[in-house]
Amino acid sequence: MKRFVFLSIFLFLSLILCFSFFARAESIKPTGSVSVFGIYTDENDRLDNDKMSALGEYEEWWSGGEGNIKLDFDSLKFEGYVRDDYDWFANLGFDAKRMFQFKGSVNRMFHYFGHEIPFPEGYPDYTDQFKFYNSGKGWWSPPYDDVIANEYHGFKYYVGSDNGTGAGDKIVRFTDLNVGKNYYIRITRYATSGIFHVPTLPGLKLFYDFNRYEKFGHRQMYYMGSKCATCHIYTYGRRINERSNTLKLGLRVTRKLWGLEYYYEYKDFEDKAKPHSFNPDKVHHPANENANPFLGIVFYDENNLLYANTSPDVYKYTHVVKFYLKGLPLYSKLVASYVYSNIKSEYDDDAGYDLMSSGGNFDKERESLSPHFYAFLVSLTSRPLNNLTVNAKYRYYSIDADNVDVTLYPVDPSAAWPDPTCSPITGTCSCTGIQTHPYGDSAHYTYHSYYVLDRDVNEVKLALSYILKSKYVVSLGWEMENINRSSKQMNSQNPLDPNFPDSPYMESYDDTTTNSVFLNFNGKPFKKLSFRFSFRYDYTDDPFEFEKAKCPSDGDKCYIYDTWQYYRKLIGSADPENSYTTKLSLDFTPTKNLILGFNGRYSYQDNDDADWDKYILSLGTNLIFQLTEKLTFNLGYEYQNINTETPAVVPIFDG
Amino acid sequence: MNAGFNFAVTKRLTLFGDAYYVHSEEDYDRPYLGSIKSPNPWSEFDVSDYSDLEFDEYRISGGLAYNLKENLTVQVKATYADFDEDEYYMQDRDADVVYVTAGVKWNF
Repeated sequence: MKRFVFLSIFLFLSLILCFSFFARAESIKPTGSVSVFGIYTDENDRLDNDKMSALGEYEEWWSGGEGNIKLDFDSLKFEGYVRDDYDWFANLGFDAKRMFQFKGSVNRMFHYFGHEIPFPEGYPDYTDQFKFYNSGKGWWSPPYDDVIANEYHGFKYYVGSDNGTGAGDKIVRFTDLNVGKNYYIRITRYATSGIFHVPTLPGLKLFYDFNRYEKFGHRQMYYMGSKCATCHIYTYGRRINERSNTLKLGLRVTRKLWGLEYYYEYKDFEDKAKPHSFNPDKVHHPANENANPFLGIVFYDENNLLYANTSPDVYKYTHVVKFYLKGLPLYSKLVASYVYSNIKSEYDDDAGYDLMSSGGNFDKERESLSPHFYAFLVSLTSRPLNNLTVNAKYRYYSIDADNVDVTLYPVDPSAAWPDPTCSPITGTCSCTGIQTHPYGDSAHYTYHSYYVLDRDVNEVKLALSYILKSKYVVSLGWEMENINRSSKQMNSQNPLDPNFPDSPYMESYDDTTTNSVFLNFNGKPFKKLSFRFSFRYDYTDDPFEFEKAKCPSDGDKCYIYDTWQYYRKLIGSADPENSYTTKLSLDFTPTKNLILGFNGRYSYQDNDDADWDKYILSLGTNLIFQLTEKLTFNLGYEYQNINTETPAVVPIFDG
Repeated sequence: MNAGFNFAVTKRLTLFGDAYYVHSEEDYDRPYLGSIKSPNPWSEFDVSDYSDLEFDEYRISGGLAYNLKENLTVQVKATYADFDEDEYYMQDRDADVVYVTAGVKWNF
């Protein structure tokens, strides 16, 4: 990729040199402006990134200066701005009598990130050597350091010489490995594009487009230090050193009745910062460190080296062909296109780490994920009557990939309580459970992955547009989308099933079919008034859902550990089954010096299977009033209300 | 809500100003937990309290531009920005800043 960067810089500098001679040869006197400003801020909160990012996360809030320059040589235009090393840009544009058009820019900006304390104010401070006492079992827990919260009553606790009641059996721990560190990144974007009109072949254009993003700095990230997130959370300053490149090369042929375009696009994303490595906390039960039934359900223990917040490098190669044909009967225009992409994502072994772990309990059959994407589109637009336009469109696309096939195994599948009667469940609940494996059979935790984006999709659209009395435009339409997924979801994992656990993913997803209707009504009934109204309704049959996502809302905590672990009956989905959206906007100019505007939107979505609904109401008005030629006022008001009702999933862990 | 004006007092002097105000709040209703009985882990520390969010933000700017010559302008602009959190996530981030710029612009 470096050669593309050098090529772009070389082109950029060469063009500046050429244009200087060009300007001199043409004796063009430039126009433009130069400005220099000093900046003073009181900087009270400068050293607190959280506060400054609340005021404006992309703004620099410290004293200094800034300068701006604009130069216009007619065919050559330049604009530059500088605040400091974190905030500046330079833009250059050149048009050689429409034979060659060039644009180039470098833009750098600053972005604050917050530094969070992962528990809200009001929690107790850190406590070391914290123990709690289970009176039902007569156990003292092993000591915990850095305990910052313990919830609900019923247990005694002990810290050094202090003890009391009110502490709970849920231990929450948090460690910030970079206390007090401020986080921010520096973003740099390089961009250049050009179009060359071949003089000997009229209608033929060659074009290129290149973009490069760089992000550099640190930001706070979380990772889980133990078997569940609520037990022990670490935060640390992760180094950010990312770059992504996009290069597009193509040609376009435009004739009287037809046109053809082809381009090739290359994209990549690379994360050059080595991720943070850690050994998980020791896996043990908080109430009895001598028994360790968790080893039957966890994939890593303190002997494994893991990496937090890893990002794979991604490479994408795309070919696009577009074609259109005009001059058909009924003033018709035919458009067709074909897209092929191949995406490869892989972890950078050069950085010294491997997929997920250097010593975890897993098997994998492929190193990288490499899906293929194919899309075909055909669209026909006709005008059978002077004021009626009809459009029909069909699109098919497919995402196809082999599974990476990662299979995970518990650290110790044979781990169990030494004495079934010692299960903490039997003492507090009357429900039945597998006492040897109170947290579920180890076999249930053997996990095999599938590539969930694998799918075939068909889309159809029909739309009519009618012009009424030259003042109104009415559009009606219907759309349909059908998604067929190849992946499978977790079925009821009955351990008594003779095929278990070889076929735990027996259930395919149903096809997702969405039918939509829409109405657009735009008009200008009077010279001073115009409006735009739209309504859309989408109905989805079998939206993307996970059928065994949640515990039932009427469940008791005893039932969390059922005969087998996955006692989940409720459907989980973030996709709606019904979706209604209405929009209205008005522009009114009652007098020459007064402009009034209004916009409103109401949207309602629900999914009865997953038992949620959501509505959004947003309203806005604006006013521009020119009192005199020298005095203008503007006033605006925006209101937005979003309301969501959804079942809460409460993770309750024993330990 | 936002408002602004631009007033050419004389041929050389222009006054300008603008302001905006944002109020935002989010309420998280106490979750209904069905038949889950005591000990209820939600009773000791109310998730609905610390999940509520509310803040007010406003910014006021004002300044003047004076044309020393037809193509030479000096400008002064002062901005006061304030962010006030009444219900916050994790930590209170109340902040304010005074931001003043002054300089000269030459057109050619």
